[in-house]
This record gives sequence, C-alpha cells and structure tokens, in this order.
Amino acid sequence: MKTSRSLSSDPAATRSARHFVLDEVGHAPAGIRDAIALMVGELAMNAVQHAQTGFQVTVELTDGTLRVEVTDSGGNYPAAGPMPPPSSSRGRGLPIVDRLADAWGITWSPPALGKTVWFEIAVPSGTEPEPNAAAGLDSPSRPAPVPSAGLPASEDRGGLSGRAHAT
Amino acid sequence: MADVGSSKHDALTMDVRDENGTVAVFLSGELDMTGVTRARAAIDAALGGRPRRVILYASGLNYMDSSGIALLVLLTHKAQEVQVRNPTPIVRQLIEMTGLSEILHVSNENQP
Repeated sequence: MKTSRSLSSDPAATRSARHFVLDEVGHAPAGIRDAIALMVGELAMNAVQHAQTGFQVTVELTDGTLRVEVTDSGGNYPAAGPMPPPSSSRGRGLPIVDRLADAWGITWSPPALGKTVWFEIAVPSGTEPEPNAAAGLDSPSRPAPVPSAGLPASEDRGGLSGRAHAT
Repeated sequence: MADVGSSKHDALTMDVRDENGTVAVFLSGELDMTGVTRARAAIDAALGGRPRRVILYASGLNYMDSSGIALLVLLTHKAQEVQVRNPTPIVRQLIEMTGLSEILHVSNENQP
C-alpha cells in the first residue's frame, strides 16, 4: 500500500518528511531507521534547497523492502557524483543515499519540469507483528485445520505459490 | 564558565559555552538544515572571529544530515581545532562516510 504526503518548500518540511516516513516504517532496527531518516532528509533537502518547490513523499513497504519516492517540480539536475572531498561544503546528498540504499534512481518526467528521486532499502522481517499473533492464545491446544482427504492438495499448493502481491 | 547562549526548539536543543577559551557546544535532538542555521549563528558569536578550539558534545544528537556535515566543514575553516565527543551511531557513521574523520577529531572521551 502506498502512502503519500505533500509538503511545502520549507526547511522545516524536511523534518516532517523524515518523521512521516519513520512513522510509516514502524518498528525496525535502529541502524535501519537511522539510514532511512538520513536518506529521506537528504532527498527532502534537495527538493527544498535546489528544486525550491513543494514536494511529495511516497512510502511503500512491500515484503520487507521499503521504497520511498520524493517528487518535486524543479527543473534542476541533482548532482549524483562521487562523495566530495572532506573540505567541500556541499554535494553530499545523493552520495550519502548511494552509500546507504540497496537501490536508488531518478525518474524524469519530460516534457514537464520535475523529477522523482527514489530509494529502496531492506527492512528486516520479524520486526512487525506476526499476522497470526492475535490467534496465538488458543492455537496450541487446537490442531491446525487439516484439509479434507478428498482435496487435491498439490494443486491447492500450486495455486498458493503464485504469491501475487495484492496492492 | 560563561553561558554564551542557549536555546530550545522542538527539534534541536543547543547550549553554547565558553570554557576557558574553548567553545563548548552541547547539542541534542535533530540537527538538520533548520538547526544548522541557528547553531552556526550561536557558534560564530561564541568564536568572536578568533580561531579557537570548538568541542561539540554530540551524545544527545539522534539525527544529523549533510547540512550538519557542512557546518562541521565550515567550523574546521574557522576554528583552530574541531572535536566531536561521544557521537551517536548515526553521527559517527555520517562523519566516517563523508571522510570528515580526516579533518576533525572524533573521540569517546568523557568529559564533565
């Protein structure tokens, strides 16, 4: 499920963007949450400082992979070079994202101005409540439902293995 | 020990002191582009145009990004020496990732 938030071109919006995404992520190891906050902060800062437009943050968590998109309507080209030397005072935003993300990229939407910068990072499983946790109390005393003997079990499993991701 | 200035904000708490000629900066919360503007002004005022030692106490800093890195770079140009004490994991990782550990001193020494 995708969740989006529109934010204004305001320095304080970079913090709103970070907290919006972290709230959507929920429980995760501290190091992962730090990396996510940092990447969102850098992309939001790029939108506010360089694109100088309002921007939209979109979050999608699918099977342990978090995808965050930051879309602005500025015509600038983000600098995606290597990490600048220590004495440099700028140009570290995307190099930081490059270090921390599992994947990232920029999607241009010509002919209109604007772009989407996105990243993906694995959020380790087991940090979310198990889907069946609520039924845990009485489940030990109850054997799992056994498929009736007449069911073509193999065909049934085949149907489930498709694992279509409903969105 | 003169209290040069302190201020509170939702995201960043900052306390800047002159300790026997060293500018001691206590930061906690989130240091982003909003906080950097305030921190820079307070540290500039404390430096008073003289190249002195700046020590940032960072154990309470639970967020910092490249705007904070840019502030540290600026301080290395203005100050005689820049130290970062007791950084949290995100601050330490960011300093190492950006190569700033080459131009400033990071330590875990405890100091009252």
